[in-house]
Amino acid sequence: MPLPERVAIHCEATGYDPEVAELRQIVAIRIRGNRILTGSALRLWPGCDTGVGEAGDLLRAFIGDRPLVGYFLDFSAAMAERLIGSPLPNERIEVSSLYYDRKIKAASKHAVDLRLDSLVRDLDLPVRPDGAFGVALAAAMAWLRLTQEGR
Amino acid sequence: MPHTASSTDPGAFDFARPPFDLLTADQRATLAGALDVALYPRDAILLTREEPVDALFVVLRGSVQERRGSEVAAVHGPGDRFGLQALYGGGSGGNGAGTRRFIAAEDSVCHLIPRAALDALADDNPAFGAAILGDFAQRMRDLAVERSNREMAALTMARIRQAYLHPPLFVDAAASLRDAALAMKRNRASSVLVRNADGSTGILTGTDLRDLVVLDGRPVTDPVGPLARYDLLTLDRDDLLFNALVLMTRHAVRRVVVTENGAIVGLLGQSDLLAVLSNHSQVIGVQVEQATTPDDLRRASRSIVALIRTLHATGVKVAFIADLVTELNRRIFRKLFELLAPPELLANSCLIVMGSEGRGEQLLKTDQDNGLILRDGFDWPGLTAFAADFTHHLVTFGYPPCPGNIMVSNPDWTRPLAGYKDAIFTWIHRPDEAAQMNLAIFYDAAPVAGDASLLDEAKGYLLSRLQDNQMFFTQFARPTLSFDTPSGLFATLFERRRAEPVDIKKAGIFPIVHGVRALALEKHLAETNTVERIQTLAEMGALDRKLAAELAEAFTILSTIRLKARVDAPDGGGADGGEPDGTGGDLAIDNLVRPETLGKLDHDQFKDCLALVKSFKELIAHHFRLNH
Repeated sequence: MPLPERVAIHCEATGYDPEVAELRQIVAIRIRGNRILTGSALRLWPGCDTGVGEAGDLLRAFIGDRPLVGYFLDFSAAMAERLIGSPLPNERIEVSSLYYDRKIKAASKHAVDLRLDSLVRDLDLPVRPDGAFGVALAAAMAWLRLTQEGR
Repeated sequence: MPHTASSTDPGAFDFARPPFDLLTADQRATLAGALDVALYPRDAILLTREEPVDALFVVLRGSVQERRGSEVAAVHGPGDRFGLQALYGGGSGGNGAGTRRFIAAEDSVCHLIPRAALDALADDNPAFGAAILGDFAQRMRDLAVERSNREMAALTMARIRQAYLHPPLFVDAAASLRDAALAMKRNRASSVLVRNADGSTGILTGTDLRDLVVLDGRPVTDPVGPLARYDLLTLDRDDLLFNALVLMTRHAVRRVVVTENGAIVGLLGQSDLLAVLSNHSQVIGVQVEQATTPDDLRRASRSIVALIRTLHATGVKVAFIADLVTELNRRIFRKLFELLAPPELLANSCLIVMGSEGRGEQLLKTDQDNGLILRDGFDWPGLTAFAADFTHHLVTFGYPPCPGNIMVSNPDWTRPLAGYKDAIFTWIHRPDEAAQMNLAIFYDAAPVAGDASLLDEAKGYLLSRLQDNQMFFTQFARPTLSFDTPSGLFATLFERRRAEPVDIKKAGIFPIVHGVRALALEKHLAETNTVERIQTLAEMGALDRKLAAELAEAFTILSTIRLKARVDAPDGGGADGGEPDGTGGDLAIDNLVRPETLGKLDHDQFKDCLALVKSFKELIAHHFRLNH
């Protein structure tokens, strides 16, 4: 039986409003079992190195019906839908809410710091969460750490 | 590529670590772009049999245990890599990989270099490729050594009782061959035991059946009684499995009969022994048997040193090691001879080994002492070339040439029986130092391949020429006293000498070997092994029984100390089992023992042994009138 796959995505855009922001870069990385397939990640600069239509097709094919994983995923997913030109019905997994769920169980009096830098530091992930690739990879790592056995 | 070459990126691949430092900037970028990353929680299994391995693992964070069975064979920390064996060794499903597992000892992160990327880089950058694969070869060697260590430890401890025994399957002597075959089939056995009315028990194997019926055309109705073989090899159920191994190796059989309180309780098969222990020495034996070229043999031969080290390290008795090593060496010689010699040479000659190899006391590969006795009248033009070739191959196998040139390649030692007889005559009647030595080592000769009757005849001639020539024996025995033996009787003297190394061969082993040899020659014994000679001499009454027992023990102890000194010699240490260039892997020959480096127990034993050797030398001097 093939291992289940997911896709971590992240977008870099000119703003945070998916209605108006302009997409600069989108990165999608598959996760297979415990392994993050960074070596075959999809990195697109639509309208720059790839035509917008073509980029949409590539992204749609790359994602398929795999669940999506991301940090601030709704924004990335909305940008991806705009690029593809149709809604993405895929299951969505927001790592910051997984992280929140876990931290809140620890019954700390402090508010949970959901900033990605803090999350990466707290989970001790070997990644620098910069740029679309760094954030997507950080999300993939965070998702693995938060869902692996014994967590 | 945001996650690659920055020094502040905690996920960056460490290119400073060899052999990755061999990569050019472009190649590094290519590799960084091809990397996958994997995160494992503590106790997660990284590599299993089910999962095809398609990448080399390099630890980035945490640590990964490599386990074989329940043992931790290695721990891989940051920068360490693993998975190559599975990647290139064809290991999945094979013997090694089957039981190997990689488990995260803590939360760990690994970089995975896909095989395609690794192959492309190795093609692109030959130095890098060599480093990666060379590293792999070394790792395989280490693993092999490690494996044999573990197996040998098990082997030396294990008793036959612990192995699976096939229940004995008896048939009556009157049963037919067909009955025997039926019984084997029904019980899925490969042999039956044949019980005779007179109480004797024989064995009939499937191979015997095939030979008797298919090849010899015997009717299947023939009774098995007269056809069974009665030279059963038996061992007690409480014997060491190792003894079973030695017995099987020596007799080239695949099963031994196991008894308990004298009654047969089962059969121990070679395959069961292998299944339990899958031990190293048998593997070498099989390698030798299956060799089809001298190169195959060379590889098998190279493994022997590692075997000796392992056996010694696991506390196997020196006598067993000598037995096994002698047997393996002889097999290698025999196989090489059979590979190189044409059939007519095989039929008309006898390959002999002499000296310690002939006595079966070889603990390590020492100088070649071998010769070839040709049948009188046999002539073959290729002989000189063959002899040179034979000796040369043995040298490449790691048996150094004999400094005295007592080797097949020397025409003096490859000659017709009549030539040997002439030489023997000269050795006896015109004894000088060289003649004495030649005679001594020839008396120790044992046949290895070809027609053993040629050696029998030469030795028969030797004994017939001796008569009761007192003068001769006095000369022959004299070297027993050649070297000083520091004696424990003079404690102060000994203590003063303690700081000086003692040549254990000259002071202890040689006097025993040669003194016993002189006594054995005088009594015309056929035995060549020193301990066997001592025992036979005691049985004949030629040696006091108590002294004989002590002498045999001292000989064993001294041999053990000698082996220890060699195995532990600094330049002989390390896990260099068989270097491809053919120079490593051999143990330095060093007969010097530094008493102060011996443990208390060894030291006391050493002292006692030397005292015994001293008194044995006095006995020899008296017996052969060496002081007159």
